[in-house]
Amino acid sequence: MKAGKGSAKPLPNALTGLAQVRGASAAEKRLVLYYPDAFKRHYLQILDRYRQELARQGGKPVGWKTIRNMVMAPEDEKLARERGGQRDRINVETARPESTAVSEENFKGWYDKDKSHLPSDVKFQYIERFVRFLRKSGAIDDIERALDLAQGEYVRDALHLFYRPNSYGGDRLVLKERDLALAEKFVSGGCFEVEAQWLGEGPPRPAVCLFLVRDYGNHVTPVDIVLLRKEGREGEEEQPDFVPLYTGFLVTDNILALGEEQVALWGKLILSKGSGATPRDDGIASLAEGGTYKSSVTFSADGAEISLETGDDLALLGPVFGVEAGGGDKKEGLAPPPMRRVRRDHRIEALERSLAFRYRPWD
Amino acid sequence: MGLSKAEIERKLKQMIGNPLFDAARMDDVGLMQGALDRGRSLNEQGPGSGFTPLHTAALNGSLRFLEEALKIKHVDPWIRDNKGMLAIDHAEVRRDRAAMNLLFDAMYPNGQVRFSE
Repeated sequence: MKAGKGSAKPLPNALTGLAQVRGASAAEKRLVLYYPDAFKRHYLQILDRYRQELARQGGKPVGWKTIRNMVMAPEDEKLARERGGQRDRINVETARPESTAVSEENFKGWYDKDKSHLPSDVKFQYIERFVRFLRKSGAIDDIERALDLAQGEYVRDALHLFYRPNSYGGDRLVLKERDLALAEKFVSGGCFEVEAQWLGEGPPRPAVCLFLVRDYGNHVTPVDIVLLRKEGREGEEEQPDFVPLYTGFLVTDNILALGEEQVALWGKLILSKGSGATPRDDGIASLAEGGTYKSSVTFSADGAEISLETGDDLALLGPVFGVEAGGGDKKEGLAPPPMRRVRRDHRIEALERSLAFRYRPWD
Repeated sequence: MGLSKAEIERKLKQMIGNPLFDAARMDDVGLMQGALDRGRSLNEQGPGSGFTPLHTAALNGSLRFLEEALKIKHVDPWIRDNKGMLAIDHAEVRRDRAAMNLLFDAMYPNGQVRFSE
Protein backbone atom coordinates (compact mmCIF):
# COMPACT_ATOMS: atom_id res chain seq x y z
CA MET A 1 0.00 0.00 0.00
CA LYS A 2 1.36 3.40 -0.99
CA ALA A 3 1.39 6.19 1.59
CA GLY A 4 -0.54 9.34 0.63
CA LYS A 5 1.38 12.46 -0.33
CA GLY A 6 0.99 14.24 2.96
CA SER A 7 1.11 11.21 5.23
CA ALA A 8 3.98 10.81 7.64
CA LYS A 9 6.05 7.69 7.20
CA PRO A 10 6.56 5.64 10.38
CA LEU A 11 10.13 5.75 11.61
CA PRO A 12 11.99 2.44 11.49
CA ASN A 13 12.49 0.85 14.89
CA ALA A 14 16.24 1.09 14.46
CA LEU A 15 15.95 4.91 14.45
CA THR A 16 13.50 5.30 17.28
CA GLY A 17 15.17 2.61 19.35
CA LEU A 18 11.76 1.53 20.55
CA ALA A 19 10.39 -1.94 20.10
CA GLN A 20 6.72 -1.97 19.14
CA VAL A 21 5.05 -4.48 21.42
CA ARG A 22 1.53 -5.51 20.45
CA GLY A 23 -0.43 -8.65 19.76
CA ALA A 24 -0.63 -10.12 16.27
CA SER A 25 -3.52 -8.73 14.21
CA ALA A 26 -5.96 -11.08 12.47
CA ALA A 27 -4.24 -10.34 9.14
CA GLU A 28 -0.84 -11.16 10.62
CA LYS A 29 -2.21 -14.38 12.10
CA ARG A 30 -3.44 -15.42 8.67
CA LEU A 31 0.01 -14.70 7.24
CA VAL A 32 1.80 -16.71 9.88
CA LEU A 33 -0.80 -19.35 10.50
CA TYR A 34 -1.56 -21.15 7.27
CA TYR A 35 -2.48 -24.75 6.65
CA PRO A 36 -3.02 -26.06 3.11
CA ASP A 37 -6.38 -27.77 2.54
CA ALA A 38 -4.72 -31.10 1.67
CA PHE A 39 -2.91 -31.02 5.00
CA LYS A 40 -6.16 -30.38 6.87
CA ARG A 41 -7.99 -33.18 5.01
CA HIS A 42 -5.17 -35.62 5.77
CA TYR A 43 -5.21 -34.81 9.48
CA LEU A 44 -9.02 -35.04 9.61
CA GLN A 45 -8.80 -38.45 7.94
CA ILE A 46 -6.26 -39.63 10.53
CA LEU A 47 -8.48 -38.36 13.35
CA ASP A 48 -11.51 -40.15 11.92
CA ARG A 49 -9.57 -43.40 11.64
CA TYR A 50 -8.36 -42.95 15.20
CA ARG A 51 -11.98 -42.53 16.35
CA GLN A 52 -12.92 -45.74 14.52
CA GLU A 53 -9.97 -47.54 16.10
CA LEU A 54 -11.04 -46.38 19.59
CA ALA A 55 -14.55 -47.66 18.86
CA ARG A 56 -13.18 -51.00 17.68
CA GLN A 57 -11.00 -51.37 20.77
CA GLY A 58 -13.74 -50.29 23.16
CA GLY A 59 -16.46 -52.29 21.45
CA LYS A 60 -18.82 -49.32 21.37
CA PRO A 61 -19.26 -46.22 19.21
CA VAL A 62 -17.12 -43.18 19.97
CA GLY A 63 -18.83 -39.86 19.31
CA TRP A 64 -17.41 -36.48 18.29
CA LYS A 65 -18.00 -35.21 21.82
CA THR A 66 -15.38 -37.65 23.12
CA ILE A 67 -12.93 -36.65 20.41
CA ARG A 68 -13.61 -32.95 20.98
CA ASN A 69 -12.87 -33.38 24.69
CA MET A 70 -9.60 -35.16 23.93
CA VAL A 71 -8.50 -32.51 21.43
CA MET A 72 -9.40 -29.61 23.70
CA ALA A 73 -8.33 -31.13 27.03
CA PRO A 74 -5.49 -28.60 27.66
CA GLU A 75 -7.83 -25.62 27.04
CA ASP A 76 -10.64 -27.12 29.16
CA GLU A 77 -8.22 -27.82 31.99
CA LYS A 78 -6.79 -24.32 31.79
CA LEU A 79 -10.30 -22.91 31.97
CA ALA A 80 -11.11 -25.11 34.95
CA ARG A 81 -7.96 -23.90 36.73
CA GLU A 82 -8.82 -20.27 36.04
CA ARG A 83 -12.37 -20.73 37.28
CA GLY A 84 -11.13 -22.66 40.28
CA GLY A 85 -9.98 -19.34 41.73
CA GLN A 86 -13.45 -17.84 41.31
CA ARG A 87 -15.54 -20.50 43.00
CA ASP A 88 -17.62 -17.94 44.82
CA ARG A 89 -18.70 -16.41 41.51
CA ILE A 90 -19.65 -19.53 39.57
CA ASN A 91 -22.07 -22.34 40.00
CA VAL A 92 -19.92 -25.28 41.08
CA GLU A 93 -22.74 -27.68 40.31
CA THR A 94 -22.45 -27.15 36.57
CA ALA A 95 -20.48 -29.54 34.34
CA ARG A 96 -16.75 -28.99 33.83
CA PRO A 97 -16.01 -25.82 31.86
CA GLU A 98 -15.45 -26.17 28.13
CA SER A 99 -13.43 -23.88 25.94
CA THR A 100 -15.54 -22.30 23.22
CA ALA A 101 -12.64 -22.34 20.73
CA VAL A 102 -13.74 -25.68 19.24
CA SER A 103 -17.10 -27.33 19.86
CA GLU A 104 -18.68 -30.72 19.24
CA GLU A 105 -20.84 -29.03 16.58
CA ASN A 106 -17.69 -27.94 14.75
CA PHE A 107 -16.61 -31.57 14.49
CA LYS A 108 -20.04 -32.68 13.30
CA GLY A 109 -19.89 -30.01 10.58
CA TRP A 110 -16.38 -30.91 9.40
CA TYR A 111 -17.28 -34.58 9.14
CA ASP A 112 -20.74 -34.08 7.64
CA LYS A 113 -20.81 -35.88 4.29
CA ASP A 114 -23.10 -33.22 2.84
CA LYS A 115 -20.75 -30.38 3.74
CA SER A 116 -17.34 -29.63 2.34
CA HIS A 117 -15.99 -26.90 4.60
CA LEU A 118 -12.77 -27.38 6.51
CA PRO A 119 -11.68 -26.06 9.90
CA SER A 120 -10.37 -22.49 9.93
CA ASP A 121 -6.61 -22.17 10.42
CA VAL A 122 -7.05 -21.01 14.01
CA LYS A 123 -9.32 -23.94 14.91
CA PHE A 124 -7.14 -26.37 13.02
CA GLN A 125 -4.21 -25.63 15.33
CA TYR A 126 -5.88 -27.75 18.02
CA ILE A 127 -6.32 -30.70 15.68
CA GLU A 128 -2.72 -30.42 14.50
CA ARG A 129 -1.50 -30.41 18.11
CA PHE A 130 -3.61 -33.47 19.00
CA VAL A 131 -2.51 -35.49 15.94
CA ARG A 132 1.14 -34.66 16.61
CA PHE A 133 0.61 -35.70 20.24
CA LEU A 134 -0.87 -39.04 19.15
CA ARG A 135 1.96 -39.50 16.67
CA LYS A 136 4.71 -39.03 19.24
CA SER A 137 3.00 -41.49 21.56
CA GLY A 138 2.84 -44.11 18.78
CA ALA A 139 -0.97 -44.34 18.95
CA ILE A 140 -1.49 -43.73 15.23
CA ASP A 141 1.53 -45.57 13.77
CA ASP A 142 -0.58 -48.38 12.31
CA ILE A 143 -3.09 -45.93 10.87
CA GLU A 144 -0.43 -43.77 9.20
CA ARG A 145 1.61 -46.74 8.01
CA ALA A 146 -1.49 -48.14 6.27
CA LEU A 147 -2.24 -44.75 4.65
CA ASP A 148 1.34 -44.22 3.47
CA LEU A 149 1.72 -47.75 2.12
CA ALA A 150 -1.59 -47.37 0.27
CA GLN A 151 -0.26 -44.16 -1.27
CA GLY A 152 2.92 -45.99 -2.35
CA GLU A 153 0.85 -48.73 -4.01
CA TYR A 154 -1.26 -46.09 -5.74
CA VAL A 155 1.89 -44.51 -7.19
CA ARG A 156 3.20 -47.94 -8.25
CA ASP A 157 -0.06 -48.68 -10.10
CA ALA A 158 0.06 -45.25 -11.73
CA LEU A 159 3.64 -45.83 -12.90
CA HIS A 160 2.68 -49.24 -14.27
CA LEU A 161 -0.18 -47.71 -16.24
CA PHE A 162 1.96 -44.80 -17.41
CA TYR A 163 5.03 -46.74 -18.59
CA ARG A 164 3.12 -49.93 -19.48
CA PRO A 165 6.02 -52.40 -19.51
CA ASN A 166 4.70 -55.27 -21.57
CA SER A 167 5.59 -58.93 -21.37
CA TYR A 168 4.97 -59.34 -25.10
CA GLY A 169 6.54 -57.78 -28.18
CA GLY A 170 3.99 -58.60 -30.89
CA ASP A 171 3.43 -62.34 -30.50
CA ARG A 172 6.89 -62.82 -28.98
CA LEU A 173 7.24 -63.27 -25.22
CA VAL A 174 9.76 -60.66 -24.11
CA LEU A 175 9.67 -61.17 -20.35
CA LYS A 176 10.06 -64.87 -19.83
CA GLU A 177 8.89 -66.69 -16.74
CA ARG A 178 12.40 -67.78 -15.88
CA ASP A 179 13.58 -64.15 -15.97
CA LEU A 180 10.71 -63.13 -13.73
CA ALA A 181 11.48 -65.95 -11.30
CA LEU A 182 15.11 -64.81 -11.05
CA ALA A 183 13.99 -61.20 -10.59
CA GLU A 184 11.77 -62.34 -7.75
CA LYS A 185 14.68 -64.30 -6.25
CA PHE A 186 17.46 -61.68 -6.49
CA VAL A 187 15.58 -58.37 -6.54
CA SER A 188 12.64 -58.58 -4.12
CA GLY A 189 13.60 -57.65 -0.60
CA GLY A 190 17.21 -56.92 -1.54
CA CYS A 191 19.36 -54.72 0.67
CA PHE A 192 22.70 -53.42 -0.63
CA GLU A 193 25.50 -51.34 0.82
CA VAL A 194 26.41 -48.31 -1.32
CA GLU A 195 29.83 -46.62 -1.35
CA ALA A 196 28.53 -43.05 -1.22
CA GLN A 197 30.76 -39.97 -1.50
CA TRP A 198 30.52 -37.94 1.68
CA LEU A 199 30.65 -34.21 2.11
CA GLY A 200 33.83 -33.04 3.84
CA GLU A 201 35.65 -35.65 5.88
CA GLY A 202 33.06 -38.39 5.97
CA PRO A 203 29.78 -39.40 7.54
CA PRO A 204 28.86 -37.49 10.69
CA ARG A 205 28.90 -40.67 12.75
CA PRO A 206 29.97 -44.16 11.61
CA ALA A 207 27.39 -44.93 8.97
CA VAL A 208 26.71 -46.82 5.78
CA CYS A 209 24.53 -45.95 2.84
CA LEU A 210 21.92 -48.58 1.94
CA PHE A 211 19.99 -49.23 -1.27
CA LEU A 212 16.80 -51.02 -0.22
CA VAL A 213 14.62 -52.77 -2.76
CA ARG A 214 11.05 -53.82 -1.99
CA ASP A 215 8.93 -56.42 -3.73
CA TYR A 216 9.08 -56.72 -7.51
CA GLY A 217 5.50 -56.33 -8.73
CA ASN A 218 3.94 -55.13 -12.01
CA HIS A 219 7.53 -54.51 -13.18
CA VAL A 220 7.73 -51.58 -10.77
CA THR A 221 9.86 -51.97 -7.64
CA PRO A 222 9.86 -49.43 -4.80
CA VAL A 223 13.38 -48.45 -3.70
CA ASP A 224 14.81 -46.40 -0.85
CA ILE A 225 18.28 -45.02 -0.30
CA VAL A 226 19.09 -44.29 3.33
CA LEU A 227 22.00 -43.48 5.55
CA LEU A 228 22.11 -45.99 8.42
CA ARG A 229 24.29 -45.41 11.45
CA LYS A 230 26.12 -48.58 12.44
CA GLU A 231 25.24 -48.24 16.10
CA GLY A 232 21.90 -47.01 17.37
CA ARG A 233 21.74 -44.13 19.83
CA GLU A 234 22.63 -44.77 23.45
CA GLY A 235 19.79 -46.65 25.10
CA GLU A 236 18.12 -47.23 21.71
CA GLU A 237 20.62 -49.70 20.22
CA GLU A 238 17.87 -51.88 18.79
CA GLN A 239 16.23 -48.99 16.94
CA PRO A 240 17.58 -48.16 13.48
CA ASP A 241 19.23 -44.73 13.52
CA PHE A 242 18.82 -43.53 9.94
CA VAL A 243 18.41 -40.56 7.62
CA PRO A 244 16.14 -40.96 4.58
CA LEU A 245 17.98 -39.82 1.45
CA TYR A 246 16.03 -40.80 -1.65
CA THR A 247 12.87 -42.74 -2.29
CA GLY A 248 11.43 -43.91 -5.58
CA PHE A 249 10.89 -46.73 -8.03
CA LEU A 250 12.84 -48.93 -10.38
CA VAL A 251 10.64 -49.22 -13.48
CA THR A 252 11.65 -52.20 -15.59
CA ASP A 253 11.47 -52.11 -19.39
CA ASN A 254 13.19 -55.43 -19.86
CA ILE A 255 14.67 -58.30 -17.87
CA LEU A 256 17.35 -60.72 -18.92
CA ALA A 257 18.56 -63.71 -16.92
CA LEU A 258 22.33 -64.07 -17.21
CA GLY A 259 22.70 -67.78 -16.52
CA GLU A 260 21.19 -68.99 -13.27
CA GLU A 261 23.07 -66.65 -10.94
CA GLN A 262 22.37 -63.14 -12.27
CA VAL A 263 19.51 -61.12 -13.59
CA ALA A 264 19.73 -57.73 -15.30
CA LEU A 265 16.96 -55.14 -15.21
CA TRP A 266 16.88 -52.32 -17.77
CA GLY A 267 14.66 -49.35 -17.27
CA LYS A 268 14.36 -46.16 -15.31
CA LEU A 269 15.36 -45.28 -11.80
CA ILE A 270 12.92 -42.64 -10.53
CA LEU A 271 14.14 -40.96 -7.37
CA SER A 272 12.89 -38.12 -5.24
CA LYS A 273 14.38 -36.44 -2.19
CA GLY A 274 11.35 -35.98 0.04
CA SER A 275 13.27 -34.23 2.79
CA GLY A 276 14.61 -31.52 0.48
CA ALA A 277 17.92 -31.69 2.36
CA THR A 278 21.19 -30.39 0.92
CA PRO A 279 24.57 -32.15 1.36
CA ARG A 280 25.22 -29.98 4.39
CA ASP A 281 22.08 -31.38 6.00
CA ASP A 282 22.49 -35.09 5.36
CA GLY A 283 26.24 -35.39 4.67
CA ILE A 284 26.08 -37.02 1.20
CA ALA A 285 27.89 -35.02 -1.50
CA SER A 286 24.98 -35.21 -3.93
CA LEU A 287 23.26 -32.07 -5.17
CA ALA A 288 20.50 -34.00 -6.97
CA GLU A 289 16.94 -33.31 -5.89
CA GLY A 290 15.84 -36.40 -7.78
CA GLY A 291 14.69 -37.20 -11.29
CA THR A 292 14.26 -40.01 -13.79
CA TYR A 293 17.50 -41.75 -14.75
CA LYS A 294 17.99 -44.35 -17.46
CA SER A 295 19.73 -47.23 -15.75
CA SER A 296 20.42 -50.92 -15.72
CA VAL A 297 21.01 -52.95 -12.58
CA THR A 298 22.45 -56.45 -12.45
CA PHE A 299 21.43 -58.37 -9.35
CA SER A 300 23.09 -61.51 -8.00
CA ALA A 301 23.28 -63.41 -4.74
CA ASP A 302 26.34 -61.36 -3.70
CA GLY A 303 25.28 -57.88 -4.65
CA ALA A 304 24.19 -55.54 -7.38
CA GLU A 305 25.89 -53.40 -10.00
CA ILE A 306 24.22 -50.30 -11.28
CA SER A 307 25.06 -48.61 -14.54
CA LEU A 308 23.85 -45.07 -15.07
CA GLU A 309 23.60 -43.10 -18.28
CA THR A 310 25.53 -39.86 -18.32
CA GLY A 311 23.75 -36.54 -18.10
CA ASP A 312 23.63 -33.28 -16.27
CA ASP A 313 21.36 -34.60 -13.55
CA LEU A 314 23.57 -37.58 -13.07
CA ALA A 315 26.57 -35.38 -12.47
CA LEU A 316 24.70 -34.34 -9.36
CA LEU A 317 23.39 -37.80 -8.36
CA GLY A 318 26.64 -39.74 -8.92
CA PRO A 319 28.03 -39.32 -5.37
CA VAL A 320 25.14 -41.39 -3.99
CA PHE A 321 26.57 -44.39 -5.86
CA GLY A 322 30.22 -43.63 -5.15
CA VAL A 323 31.01 -41.55 -8.23
CA GLU A 324 33.02 -38.41 -7.58
CA ALA A 325 30.92 -35.22 -7.72
CA GLY A 326 30.74 -34.01 -11.32
CA GLY A 327 31.56 -37.46 -12.71
CA GLY A 328 28.68 -37.03 -15.13
CA ASP A 329 30.95 -34.85 -17.28
CA LYS A 330 32.24 -38.11 -18.76
CA LYS A 331 30.72 -39.06 -22.08
CA GLU A 332 30.51 -42.80 -21.45
CA GLY A 333 28.05 -44.45 -19.08
CA LEU A 334 28.96 -44.56 -15.43
CA ALA A 335 29.67 -47.80 -13.63
CA PRO A 336 29.82 -47.03 -9.93
CA PRO A 337 31.50 -49.50 -7.56
CA PRO A 338 29.53 -52.74 -7.01
CA MET A 339 27.03 -52.73 -4.17
CA ARG A 340 27.42 -55.50 -1.61
CA ARG A 341 24.34 -57.46 -0.53
CA VAL A 342 23.62 -57.07 3.17
CA ARG A 343 21.94 -59.77 5.21
CA ARG A 344 18.48 -58.75 6.36
CA ASP A 345 18.44 -58.75 10.15
CA HIS A 346 15.94 -57.35 12.66
CA ARG A 347 17.43 -53.84 12.34
CA ILE A 348 16.97 -53.80 8.57
CA GLU A 349 13.42 -55.07 8.99
CA ALA A 350 12.71 -52.38 11.61
CA LEU A 351 14.22 -49.83 9.23
CA GLU A 352 11.91 -50.97 6.44
CA ARG A 353 8.88 -50.63 8.74
CA SER A 354 9.97 -47.08 9.61
CA LEU A 355 10.40 -46.24 5.93
CA ALA A 356 6.68 -46.74 5.41
CA PHE A 357 6.19 -43.22 6.77
CA ARG A 358 6.52 -40.69 3.98
CA TYR A 359 7.06 -37.02 3.38
CA ARG A 360 3.87 -35.66 1.85
CA PRO A 361 3.80 -32.57 -0.34
CA TRP A 362 0.88 -30.27 0.51
CA ASP A 363 0.91 -27.68 -2.26
CA MET B 1 22.28 -26.20 -19.00
CA GLY B 2 23.78 -28.49 -16.40
CA LEU B 3 26.47 -27.72 -13.87
CA SER B 4 30.10 -28.39 -14.69
CA LYS B 5 32.31 -30.39 -12.34
CA ALA B 6 34.00 -27.18 -11.16
CA GLU B 7 30.64 -25.55 -10.41
CA ILE B 8 29.48 -28.60 -8.46
CA GLU B 9 32.68 -28.61 -6.41
CA ARG B 10 32.32 -24.89 -5.75
CA LYS B 11 28.73 -25.36 -4.56
CA LEU B 12 29.74 -28.23 -2.30
CA LYS B 13 32.60 -26.20 -0.82
CA GLN B 14 30.19 -23.34 -0.11
CA MET B 15 28.11 -25.71 1.93
CA ILE B 16 30.93 -26.64 4.25
CA GLY B 17 31.80 -24.12 6.86
CA ASN B 18 28.56 -23.00 8.48
CA PRO B 19 29.32 -24.33 11.94
CA LEU B 20 25.73 -24.47 13.23
CA PHE B 21 24.62 -26.80 10.45
CA ASP B 22 27.72 -28.96 10.87
CA ALA B 23 27.07 -29.05 14.62
CA ALA B 24 23.45 -30.04 14.01
CA ARG B 25 24.46 -32.81 11.61
CA MET B 26 27.20 -34.14 13.87
CA ASP B 27 25.32 -33.63 17.16
CA ASP B 28 28.20 -31.48 18.44
CA VAL B 29 27.04 -29.21 21.25
CA GLY B 30 30.50 -27.65 21.73
CA LEU B 31 30.60 -26.56 18.10
CA MET B 32 27.09 -25.15 18.45
CA GLN B 33 28.04 -23.14 21.52
CA GLY B 34 31.11 -21.72 19.81
CA ALA B 35 29.06 -20.65 16.80
CA LEU B 36 26.42 -19.03 19.00
CA ASP B 37 29.12 -17.16 20.92
CA ARG B 38 30.32 -15.77 17.59
CA GLY B 39 26.85 -14.40 16.89
CA ARG B 40 25.29 -17.09 14.70
CA SER B 41 21.54 -17.63 14.97
CA LEU B 42 19.67 -20.91 15.26
CA ASN B 43 16.90 -19.39 13.13
CA GLU B 44 19.23 -18.90 10.16
CA GLN B 45 17.94 -20.73 7.07
CA GLY B 46 20.33 -22.43 4.68
CA PRO B 47 20.28 -21.76 0.94
CA GLY B 48 18.62 -24.42 -1.17
CA SER B 49 16.73 -26.35 1.47
CA GLY B 50 15.66 -23.51 3.73
CA PHE B 51 16.55 -25.73 6.68
CA THR B 52 17.35 -24.18 10.03
CA PRO B 53 19.88 -26.01 12.23
CA LEU B 54 16.83 -27.47 14.04
CA HIS B 55 15.66 -29.09 10.77
CA THR B 56 19.13 -30.55 10.20
CA ALA B 57 19.30 -31.87 13.76
CA ALA B 58 15.81 -33.38 13.49
CA LEU B 59 16.70 -35.05 10.18
CA ASN B 60 19.85 -36.56 11.71
CA GLY B 61 18.39 -37.44 15.10
CA SER B 62 20.91 -35.20 16.88
CA LEU B 63 19.33 -35.30 20.33
CA ARG B 64 21.99 -33.53 22.40
CA PHE B 65 22.00 -30.66 19.90
CA LEU B 66 18.21 -30.38 19.97
CA GLU B 67 18.06 -30.51 23.74
CA GLU B 68 20.57 -27.66 24.14
CA ALA B 69 19.35 -25.62 21.17
CA LEU B 70 15.74 -25.63 22.38
CA LYS B 71 16.81 -24.14 25.71
CA ILE B 72 17.96 -20.99 23.92
CA LYS B 73 15.40 -18.23 24.13
CA HIS B 74 15.25 -16.94 20.56
CA VAL B 75 15.00 -20.33 18.85
CA ASP B 76 11.84 -20.76 16.75
CA PRO B 77 10.62 -24.35 16.10
CA TRP B 78 7.84 -22.99 13.83
CA ILE B 79 10.10 -21.94 10.94
CA ARG B 80 9.22 -23.79 7.73
CA ASP B 81 11.84 -24.96 5.24
CA ASN B 82 11.53 -24.50 1.47
CA LYS B 83 9.20 -27.52 1.24
CA GLY B 84 6.95 -26.08 3.93
CA MET B 85 8.07 -28.50 6.61
CA LEU B 86 8.75 -27.86 10.25
CA ALA B 87 11.69 -29.43 12.08
CA ILE B 88 9.28 -31.82 13.83
CA ASP B 89 8.09 -33.13 10.42
CA HIS B 90 11.58 -34.53 9.79
CA ALA B 91 11.63 -36.23 13.19
CA GLU B 92 8.14 -37.63 12.57
CA VAL B 93 9.02 -39.22 9.23
CA ARG B 94 11.80 -41.09 11.05
CA ARG B 95 9.49 -41.80 14.01
CA ASP B 96 12.20 -40.46 16.30
CA ARG B 97 10.13 -40.26 19.49
CA ALA B 98 12.82 -38.55 21.58
CA ALA B 99 13.30 -35.76 19.03
CA MET B 100 9.52 -35.51 18.53
CA ASN B 101 9.01 -35.03 22.28
CA LEU B 102 11.62 -32.28 22.49
CA LEU B 103 10.23 -30.38 19.52
CA PHE B 104 6.59 -30.85 20.54
CA ASP B 105 7.27 -29.37 23.98
CA ALA B 106 9.01 -26.39 22.37
CA MET B 107 6.16 -25.84 19.90
CA TYR B 108 3.43 -26.01 22.51
CA PRO B 109 4.77 -24.46 25.73
CA ASN B 110 2.55 -25.64 28.60
CA GLY B 111 0.55 -27.55 26.01
CA GLN B 112 -0.93 -24.36 24.53
CA VAL B 113 -1.29 -23.50 20.83
CA ARG B 114 0.27 -20.33 19.42
CA PHE B 115 -2.83 -18.32 18.52
CA SER B 116 -5.89 -18.75 20.65
CA GLU B 117 -9.18 -17.11 19.71
